[in-house]
Amino acid sequence: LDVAVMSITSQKGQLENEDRLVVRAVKRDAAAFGILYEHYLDRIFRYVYYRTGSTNESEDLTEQVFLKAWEAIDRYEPRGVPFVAWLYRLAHNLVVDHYRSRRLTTSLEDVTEAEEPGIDVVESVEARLDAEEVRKAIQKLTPEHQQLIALRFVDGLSHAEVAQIIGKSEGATRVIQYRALQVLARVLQGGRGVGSTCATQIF
Amino acid sequence: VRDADLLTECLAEIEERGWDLDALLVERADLSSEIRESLLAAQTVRLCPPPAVSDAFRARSRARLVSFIQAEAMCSRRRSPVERLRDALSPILGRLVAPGAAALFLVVGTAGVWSASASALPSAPLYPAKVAFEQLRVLAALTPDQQAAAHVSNAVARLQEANVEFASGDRDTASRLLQSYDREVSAALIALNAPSPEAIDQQSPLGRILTALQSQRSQLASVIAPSSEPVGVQTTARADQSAPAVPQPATSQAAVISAPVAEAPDRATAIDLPTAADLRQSGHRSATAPRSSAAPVVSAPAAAPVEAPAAPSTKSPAPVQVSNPADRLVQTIIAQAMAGNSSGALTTAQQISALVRNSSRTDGSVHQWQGEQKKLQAALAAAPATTRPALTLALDAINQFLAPAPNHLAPGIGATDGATGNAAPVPAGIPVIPSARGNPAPVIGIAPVSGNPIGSTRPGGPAAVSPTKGNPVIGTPRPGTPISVHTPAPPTVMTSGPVVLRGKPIPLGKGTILTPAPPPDDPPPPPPGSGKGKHRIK
Repeated sequence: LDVAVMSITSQKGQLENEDRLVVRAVKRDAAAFGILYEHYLDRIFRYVYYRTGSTNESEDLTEQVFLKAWEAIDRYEPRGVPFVAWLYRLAHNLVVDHYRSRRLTTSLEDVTEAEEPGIDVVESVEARLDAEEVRKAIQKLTPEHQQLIALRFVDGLSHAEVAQIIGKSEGATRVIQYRALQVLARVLQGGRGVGSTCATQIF
Repeated sequence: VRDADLLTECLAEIEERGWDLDALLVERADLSSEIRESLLAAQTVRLCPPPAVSDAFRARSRARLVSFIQAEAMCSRRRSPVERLRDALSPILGRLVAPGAAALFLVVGTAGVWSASASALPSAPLYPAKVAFEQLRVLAALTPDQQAAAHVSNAVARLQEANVEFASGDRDTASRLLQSYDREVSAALIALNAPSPEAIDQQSPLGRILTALQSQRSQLASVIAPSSEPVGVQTTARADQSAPAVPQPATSQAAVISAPVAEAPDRATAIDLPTAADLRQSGHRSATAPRSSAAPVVSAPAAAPVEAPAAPSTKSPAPVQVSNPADRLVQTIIAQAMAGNSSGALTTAQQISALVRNSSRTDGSVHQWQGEQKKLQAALAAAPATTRPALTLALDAINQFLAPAPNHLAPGIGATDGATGNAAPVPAGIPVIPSARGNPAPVIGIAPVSGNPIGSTRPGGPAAVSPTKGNPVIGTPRPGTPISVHTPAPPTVMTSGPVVLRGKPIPLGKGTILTPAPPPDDPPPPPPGSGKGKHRIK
């Protein structure tokens, strides 16, 4: 890939000339798609990570997201939906398919024992423990709440962007956000007591 | 919804303040505990350090994506029309190339062998291939006519090979080839369900070809050494009961040809064989050979009787087994002529002359004699000089029979009544010399010799042509050939019968001598068709 053209990000995290890059990528310009890949790799990975709770699965699924994106890039129509929203949809579908294929109900204990931290945590042990607790708490949410928390507070997307990604109205997004934060607060405050009542149920 | 909107409003303020939740909570003391807990949870997630992508995964994922894109580019790049056509046809060509190449090699090789073996002789290495191709041609024939044509074609090849082998001095091989020829002819007759070559319609191309082949075979057999070649090969197929019966002599079972040894080998090479085109034209069935479901039985050629006189003699050879006397006599005289048996040929010529004189002028007889005429003409070209007069005599008799009426003999003269067989009355003014049998016979160009009038069919009788001055030409002269009619024989004593001289009857009694007119010093050639000798009465 020719990635000589370095990506220049704006303060809002969006590429300058992203529309032109997307148009070139739609024409199967590998260089343009490479720029988009470099720019959105971390975000997609984080999203998938908070959805799956596993670094290895997040890497595999993130990789598949961009392969799928390249295969389907010529069918992308940039009319009202940002390119990143399209990537999040691909990631969401892959995560859903991934859990469908595994038929797995993951408990918090299993995730904790199986997964490596794999996260650049703060140097302090306290901070690392906070990040781990947050991740575990999010894993206890429903997929819809996970999706909204990851998009809204991990990636910092606006309600409008989240609404485009999840395919709902901004009002519905606000309600979901409210409920998701309520559950997450209980989980973070109540520990196991709360978590036992809202074990991560992917399906 | 109201709490959700309030939460959203607070979150927006926190974002603007850089997620300074404590300041917001101080200002918004009216917020419920649920909103406060929700804002705290949101701040916890937001300030939580995000998971970072490891460098190893980044490099691995990037390399995998690059490989994927390159592989897809290799597969989906636009191909030229030639490449696309090749790709489309490659599965088909892959299945056809190997068998096609093998088939082409086989065809080319077979054609080469066939071409190279076309003129192979039995001593050549490719001769078995030639025979194999001939058998394939027979097997490929679908109809009986095609099978017969294939067998006749093979027979022609055998006869040609026999000619060549005989010309090269290999009589044994030539003899074996003649046997092969007979087998092919027999197979052709079986295919046509015909008992003999003569049973085939002589008007058909195949019938004419077979007739010519048989004649040429007889000629060749007559010159091949009789000690090694069973010349008396019977080519007559014995048809079943449904086949038409062919009149055959009761005692004769095969064609017996006297074949003296002393004959030039190159004589055989002069035989004209039918061409392949003739055989192709002969692909229709003989009209006289009806089809029978049962295959006729062919008598074994090896059991055929052989008569091989060691030297020429005046004894007439056994006649060839044919269905009619004319054909038998013609084949006999041809065999005698080719063998150099001049005396025998002359006797047979006399028999032919008598036969043709006694023939009634019907369409069938005219056609038959026309066929015999062609045979004799062909044989005359190939016959040795010593036997040409005999052939000419027979041919002349046939020519006169076939000639138009004004040029022919006077009606009734010398011919028998076709219906009764009795001699026709001789008109006035024509000198008549009675034959030994008492039948009146016209005087035609040749004076009788030694008291034996012309027309005598007694075998071994003296020739009517004087051999004192070369070989006299009798009958229709060849262009440029002087006519020499010599009559050195003593006058014949008339025994009875009216004689008319210049329109006046002359009473003749016993002892009246009729002598031919003395030849002038420079006798002019007689006009064609009329100068058969004029005699005066002394």
